[in-house]
Amino acid sequence: MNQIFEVLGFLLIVFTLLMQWEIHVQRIIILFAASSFIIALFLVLLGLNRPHEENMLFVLAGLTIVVRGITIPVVMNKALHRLYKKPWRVREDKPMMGVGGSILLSLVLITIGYFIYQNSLYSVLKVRSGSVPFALFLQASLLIISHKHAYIQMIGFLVMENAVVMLSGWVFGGLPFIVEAGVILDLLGLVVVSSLIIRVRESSILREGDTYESELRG
Amino acid sequence: MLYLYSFIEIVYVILAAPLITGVQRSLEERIESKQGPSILQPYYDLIKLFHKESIVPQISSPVFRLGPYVIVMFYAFLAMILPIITAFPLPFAPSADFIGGGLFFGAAAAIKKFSAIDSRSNYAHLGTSRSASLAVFTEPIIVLIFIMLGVISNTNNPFVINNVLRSSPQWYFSLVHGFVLVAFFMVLIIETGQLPVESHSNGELGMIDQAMPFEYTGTDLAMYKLGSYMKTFILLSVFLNVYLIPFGVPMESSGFLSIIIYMGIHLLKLTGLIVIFALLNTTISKFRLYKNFDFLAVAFALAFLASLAYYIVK
Repeated sequence: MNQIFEVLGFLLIVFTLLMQWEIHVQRIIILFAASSFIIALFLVLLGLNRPHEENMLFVLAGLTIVVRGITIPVVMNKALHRLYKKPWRVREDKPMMGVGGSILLSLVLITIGYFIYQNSLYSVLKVRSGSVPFALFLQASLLIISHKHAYIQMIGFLVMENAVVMLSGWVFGGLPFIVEAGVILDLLGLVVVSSLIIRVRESSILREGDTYESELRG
Repeated sequence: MLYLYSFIEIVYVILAAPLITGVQRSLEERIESKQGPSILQPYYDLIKLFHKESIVPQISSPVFRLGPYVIVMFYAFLAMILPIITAFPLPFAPSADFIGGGLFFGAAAAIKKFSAIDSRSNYAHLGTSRSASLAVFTEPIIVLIFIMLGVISNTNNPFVINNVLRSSPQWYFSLVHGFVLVAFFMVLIIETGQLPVESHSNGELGMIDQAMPFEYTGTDLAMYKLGSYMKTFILLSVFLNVYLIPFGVPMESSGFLSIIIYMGIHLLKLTGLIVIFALLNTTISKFRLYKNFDFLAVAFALAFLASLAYYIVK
């Protein structure tokens, strides 16, 4: 089973490398959706491997597919369609560095992730391939800092979260469900909470009989 | 008997190499709903060119004339030392391992460039410059791939690597082998001049291998083309027999008949790979020239990940 986890981990690293290679935002969204499905598969396999954690990992896998595999990519795609006439042509206009350079830097970060893990957590956790989520985390950071397009930066952030989910599931087995679900759902939670706050605020303003203009006047 | 196998192998490579190119060209045209040339067209071209007179630029040196012949000689030698129709070493195989074979490939490519430059044609210089720029980056990838397979099998002998991969499912289905396989496939696309990297037209903006033999004519051009066909054939054979499908390649105990039968199977394997190339060539648009280096960076990343996977997973 460990070998399958390693294959999935390296597949995620390759997907992130492909995100560095790709310049079209829509294709990066598709790559992110695919990597989320891999995370879900990883959680399902982990659930099969750890029956004592009951069905929580399957629920997490389902949440991952619904939220990260489908909802977020669909919402982002719709937003692209709304904002641009030709969404398939939306691309990173001003990358901070060339593709070749960023891929080589990504490799350096993967190596650094490996060495950091080997010299710190490995002696405690004894999971050799635990460096994969570390590498993924650093790669995602590079994805954020090497791009200026907000969508790609956001995907970088989501990939970073995927790495955290992987690390918590793989290396720190048995974390409470609420923590792992929190990691998967935080972005959606943030959006829901923000929209709720805005709605509550709007309704309170309307209740007082004020208009938007008077709100802006302070 | 082993010398007979060597002789059969070299004749097989020389005779079958144009066929593979012919099949690919015909297939690509048919995918595009055109009638396309016959799969024997490369043979017709070669026969026509062999009957024509060679014209040599006045200012060129003997390097220009000799280049194509030396290249064909090198590839013929490589055909004898690599596992193409046998999984056991033939008499000349001990003269070079994988690194040695790589050096011969490199030497043939260098001679090709020297002879192209010697024509003093601007187009040949353009193609040579581009080809050299790509080769500078493909060589380290190839070396890394060979090193990783050397690490797996504790040797640089392609016959041993074939035997290790066919007898050890643990290595065959390993991440290291997977990454090496994909990286080598990407390098193969570059080395055999497939479409994502190189268009098959004479457009100045993208041509590489089309530009180098610009001044060659007649028999010299025929030899140059034969060398290119042989290179493609040998590289594809190594990819298939050593890396992708190492199974079924005849051992010494299999006998003469099994080697003859395997030639047919080998052609089928090559055709399968050619179908993939034809699909790639007809569905993917060509990268702009400077984008080829991004493609190379990804190939290098995969070869590098193979080495990292070895240390992480072992």
